Amino acid sequence: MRVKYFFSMTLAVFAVSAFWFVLQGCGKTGAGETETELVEKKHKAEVVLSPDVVKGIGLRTGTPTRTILRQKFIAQGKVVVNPDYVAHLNSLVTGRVRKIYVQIGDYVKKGAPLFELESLEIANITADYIRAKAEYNAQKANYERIKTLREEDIKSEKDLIAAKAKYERAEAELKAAADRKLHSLGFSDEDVENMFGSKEHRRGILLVKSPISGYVTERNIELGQLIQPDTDIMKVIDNTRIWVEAGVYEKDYSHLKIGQTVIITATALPGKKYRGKVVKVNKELQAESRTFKVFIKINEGKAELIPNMFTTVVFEYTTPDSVMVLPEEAVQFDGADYFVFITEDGNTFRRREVTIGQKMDSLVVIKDGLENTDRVVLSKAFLVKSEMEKESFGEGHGD
Amino acid sequence: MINKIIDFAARQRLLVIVFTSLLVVVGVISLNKISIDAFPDVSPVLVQVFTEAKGLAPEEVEKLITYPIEVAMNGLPDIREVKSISSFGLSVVSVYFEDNVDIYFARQLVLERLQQAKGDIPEGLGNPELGPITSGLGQVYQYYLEGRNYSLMELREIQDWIVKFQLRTVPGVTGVLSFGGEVKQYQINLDPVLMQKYDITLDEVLDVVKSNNRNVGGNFIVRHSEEYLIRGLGWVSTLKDIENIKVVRRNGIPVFIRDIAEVTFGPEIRRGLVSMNNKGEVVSGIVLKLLGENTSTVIEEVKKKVKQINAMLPEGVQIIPYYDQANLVKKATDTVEDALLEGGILVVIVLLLFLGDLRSAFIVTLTLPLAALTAFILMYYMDMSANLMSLGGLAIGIGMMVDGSIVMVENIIRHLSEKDVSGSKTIPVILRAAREVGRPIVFAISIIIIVFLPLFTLQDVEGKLFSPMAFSISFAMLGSLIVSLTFVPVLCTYFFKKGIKEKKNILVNFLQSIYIPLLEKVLKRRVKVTIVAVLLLISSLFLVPFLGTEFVPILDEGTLSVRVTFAPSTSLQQAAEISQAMEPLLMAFPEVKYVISRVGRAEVGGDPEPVNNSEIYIILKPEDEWTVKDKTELVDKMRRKLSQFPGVLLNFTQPIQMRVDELLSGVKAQLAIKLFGEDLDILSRKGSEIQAVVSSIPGAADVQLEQISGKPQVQIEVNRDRIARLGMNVDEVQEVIETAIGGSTVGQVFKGQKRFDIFVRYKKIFRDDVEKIKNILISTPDGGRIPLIQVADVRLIVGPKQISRDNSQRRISVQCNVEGRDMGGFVAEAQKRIAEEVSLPPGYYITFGGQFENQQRAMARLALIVPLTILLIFILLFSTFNSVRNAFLIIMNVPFAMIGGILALFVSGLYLSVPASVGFIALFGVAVLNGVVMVSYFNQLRDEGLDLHDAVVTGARLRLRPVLMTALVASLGLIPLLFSTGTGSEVQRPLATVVIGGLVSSTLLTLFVLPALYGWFEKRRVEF
Repeated sequence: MRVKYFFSMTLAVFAVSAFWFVLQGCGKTGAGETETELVEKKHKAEVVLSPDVVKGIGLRTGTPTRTILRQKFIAQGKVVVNPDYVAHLNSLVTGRVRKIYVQIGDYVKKGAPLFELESLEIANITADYIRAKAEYNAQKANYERIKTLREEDIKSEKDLIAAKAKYERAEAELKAAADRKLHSLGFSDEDVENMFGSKEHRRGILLVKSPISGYVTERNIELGQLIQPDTDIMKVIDNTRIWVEAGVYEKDYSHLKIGQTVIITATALPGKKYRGKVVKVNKELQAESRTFKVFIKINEGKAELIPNMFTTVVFEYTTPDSVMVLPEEAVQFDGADYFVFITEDGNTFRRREVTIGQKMDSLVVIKDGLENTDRVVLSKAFLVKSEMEKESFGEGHGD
Repeated sequence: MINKIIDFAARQRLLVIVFTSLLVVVGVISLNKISIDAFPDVSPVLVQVFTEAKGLAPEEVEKLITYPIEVAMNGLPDIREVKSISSFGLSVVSVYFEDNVDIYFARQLVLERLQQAKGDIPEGLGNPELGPITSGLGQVYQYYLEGRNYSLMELREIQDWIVKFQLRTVPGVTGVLSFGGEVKQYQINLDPVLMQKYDITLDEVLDVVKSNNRNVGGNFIVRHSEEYLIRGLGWVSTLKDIENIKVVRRNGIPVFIRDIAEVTFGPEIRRGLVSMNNKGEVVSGIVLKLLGENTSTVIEEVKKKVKQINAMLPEGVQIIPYYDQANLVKKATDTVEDALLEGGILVVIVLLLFLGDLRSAFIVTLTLPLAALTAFILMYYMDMSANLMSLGGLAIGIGMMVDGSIVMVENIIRHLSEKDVSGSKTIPVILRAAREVGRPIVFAISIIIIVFLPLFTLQDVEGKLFSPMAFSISFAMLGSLIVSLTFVPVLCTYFFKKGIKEKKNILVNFLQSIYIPLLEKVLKRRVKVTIVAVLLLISSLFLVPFLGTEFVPILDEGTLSVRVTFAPSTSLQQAAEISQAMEPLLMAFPEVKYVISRVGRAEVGGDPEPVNNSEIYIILKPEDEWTVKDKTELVDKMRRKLSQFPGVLLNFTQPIQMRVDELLSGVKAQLAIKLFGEDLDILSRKGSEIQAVVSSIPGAADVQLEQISGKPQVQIEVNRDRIARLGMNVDEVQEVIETAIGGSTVGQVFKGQKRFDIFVRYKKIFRDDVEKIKNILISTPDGGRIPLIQVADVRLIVGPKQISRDNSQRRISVQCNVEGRDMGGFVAEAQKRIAEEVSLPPGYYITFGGQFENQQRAMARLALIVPLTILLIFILLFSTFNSVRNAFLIIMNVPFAMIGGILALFVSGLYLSVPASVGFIALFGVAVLNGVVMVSYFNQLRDEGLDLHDAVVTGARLRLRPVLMTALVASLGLIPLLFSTGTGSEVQRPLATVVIGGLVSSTLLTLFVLPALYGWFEKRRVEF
């Protein structure tokens, strides 16, 4: 009896449990058949946007343009004076400044007096010259006398030769004194000629004149200052003869050409632009700065540029032929390939891979992959790309 | 024991009254002090470690920051898992603990390990910090600053240094996150051309700024017996101060910062912004509630503080809230409060009708508040909050709470009218009556509590969600038990002092007059009736496959939010632009009050959202102002409207729901298929293969592959040969990349308590393009400068966007929802198909997780526990009746009760979910109880010598009233939940549907089938 009770009790529990399991289990089966709408996976490289959407997001399409692409590289530089128009003034001899005619910033014409130098050496050299001159004059007179006498056959040929030799030696000595020394010191032929007329030169005074027209930019002397041969006394430059010296980096060297146009901006003159041309290229690489020195001649407005002003130089060069370009915004990148979107009707967009070349400003060169007549998405291509990516990873009910 | 309690109560009547009054007082106090939330907080015990690594790409963040932190966290006690996300500039490591771990202890553990990890993170890369002590429900109050004529930078300054400071002092607020606007910086924007001109290196600039910004203390001097402190003041405080810092001296002439840079106020690099109502950007703030605090109190305090702050803000600036959980809390609690109140009224009406006596109805009704207050007291001391679920439990239990008292009062009345006594003589009669039903009452209530036992065993989310319900029901039942054993008899002695005559109850008589002839007919056709019942049962079981299944219905928060996901490479500006273009479209809906877009992330500590993500909050007007039918229609319309934007993924959700989903599984869908492995490329490729397979499985919806790649990078790789020739170190190039392009902070400017960064970077025009980056100059040791491209290779690639790791393993997830078919079958098919179609390299493996896990776990748990509970009840029944047959007979009520429940679910179109299962559980309780009432009385009558037929008919007639009453109070108490449309009714409705439907069938079966079956089970004793 009892056994039976327990048996039925166990049975009852089992029945109820089984029942519960059935209830739970049933929830997990079936119902799949009712699903009619199968989610299909589309691997299409195509996006369709309604005209409203296209208009709404401001998407523009158009054909790629062909153009000669201006390309550029940049170098830093500074304003320099054309070395032909720079004059450094100094003295070969030790001397004392006797008189100064100019101040820094003064404009001097070529030949205008700059300063006077008083020097014992000059006095000696002048004295030597005078002595040589006197000797020369004496020998010359002697030679002419003997020559006349010889013509009259009074003097022997030997005497003539001796006189001639003496005369020639005196002449040579005079020339040496005049040319080598006086000229070197800065005396002109005229000065030399005038030497006898003037008493001053006998006192050893040198008047230094400006070799070029220009501005005095350096004056390192004061009255009475003793000048050594290594003293930089004055500098005269013609700052209308301006060049720009720029340091071009190795990577840009191959694009560098004599005659190339450049655009120059100066830090001190914001907003101003100057055009120039490459006139000289130093063929040696500066070891420290790792740049090539390039000299640029400025076409106009150079009066505003002051030597040593910092400048930025933009070198322009162009592609040899016209190339196909697109706005940068039109070209998309997925980590491996560059691509654009082409469309025929303006609503269906297809991905097209392209090979790109250089980028300039906001333009990209399309080397391959597009025809001139292809209609390409020019702006908001990113949104088309997003939509396409979404199609590929967000397939489903669009939630 | 039970009799002793009853005796004691009867002897100490005054004491019982006093204790009851005390219960009322303590109960009311507890009710006022109990914390009130909208929903139970299902957030896991989670400690997050945030590390901001400005400027670093995901790979470096993972290697240098995330990895050391993860390694340090491994092996902590009671740890469940460690997840991490490494994205651009941010590492988030989430350490999940077991549910029973105290959050402060967990934080302590993490913090200790973090000290160790910090040593492994390269100097200066980032400082790991613990996230706020809050949960998915923590973002309780959100606001923006309105300020006419104030710039975004000025408003952000006000937000960061006034509003935030003040709000953080509010008790219960653990933090305030600033979101949007521009953080002010003192920016030194260097001009590299000028730097080259003056021959100044980046290092020199960084050094001089650092060494010209310091205050020092020079101790003190004593001057005429007084101490004078000495301070050296050297802090920079204005832009001018920074401009006038000397960098170098060239030819005796100093070169200042101002000669080579532009010094201005500028915005910090932004990773998020907020805009609203199509009116452009705003500055906003998010108030985070401390874990475990009372939401409504915190919000109340915050609101008070906001009023104060508004008064002290500059003219024209104001804090305006746009999201506030108080509404939600109020709505959710209102829903259940209404249900409680209406249910209570319905119960009282039933009592009045069936008892037909005002006094007894009153006594029974008193049980309701007393039981509820008992529950509140216990909940308060258990530190539980009053929320949708716990209050919902009371609403469910409302019918069962009165059961005990009904039995008690009924028996007392019966005895009193039989004995016809009055005055002091009533007390012994009442005592006897009470003692007679004491045991059955304890037994009945124990059964109710036992059936709810399975709910206590639920784990994780479902446990956190439904255990409050089980607790509150059990507490209330306990309260009702005590009240019905003590207070009710005592109250009867006062109320029925003059004695009571059981009046003829017209309603009951009427019902009996219908019931008995029907019962007679049924008893004559026992076999047929039984077969019909069994057939009904079987056919209802056939309906089960047609019921949809779900975990828990989605709670309506009253606020919509749309997650807009853009392509992974999308910039903040582009994302903001599209989000702002969406705003007017959403504003155009008459249902919408306002719209707030939150693009990217707030400051560190909030959700680590990437910039290609925007979360648009849509605050709705009250439903009576709507022009659409319901929310589904509204969402549909909005989705259609917004889907015109190309390249965006839309996901309509709700603020709290989204946050909680994210915290729970890291994905925002039902199913997460995670592929683990080492190589990001393979993960990405295999991930999309898995995605393709899953998409092709019938029932797949919203299939999304996690965006782990797709972030373009400009890679600058230093050419070691070339720098060697120039005599340079890699670092000299890297520093330029880091500081010139990326920028770096070299100090701070202090303004009172405010502090602002000094940020050094190249001017924008020198670094905002790949070509410009290639031409950035690097100083060589020879004093020259060389373009970057001559010493490094610069290339574009597409790299990872974020690296997600679970338990130190890299992974990618494919998430999807399942529509129109069951989850289990879908997962099985997915597993099979993926195994067949996707070949994985060695070391790669797949796991399935997500919400379906919760559902399966919950159902598996219930499938185990419920039969055990039924066995327990069986044993209880057996011990009471001492008869297996009787126990079995009563247990038979359980399957039959299911008929109505299943039918009700089917008809209403609701899914079989966890709440529906809870409904079945409650149903079992009532069904068993009714069976007990019937069978015990039959037995009693048989013992009194009646023959089987008479016993059954008489018993059934007499028991008609209690059976109907129990069923009616239980189901009518739930009627308000069935018809409620308020917040949270979604969760309660399946439950109410099951209970009400089931009670109809179970009552019919109790009344007709049970008596019919009783005959067979009793056959052996006496034949008909």
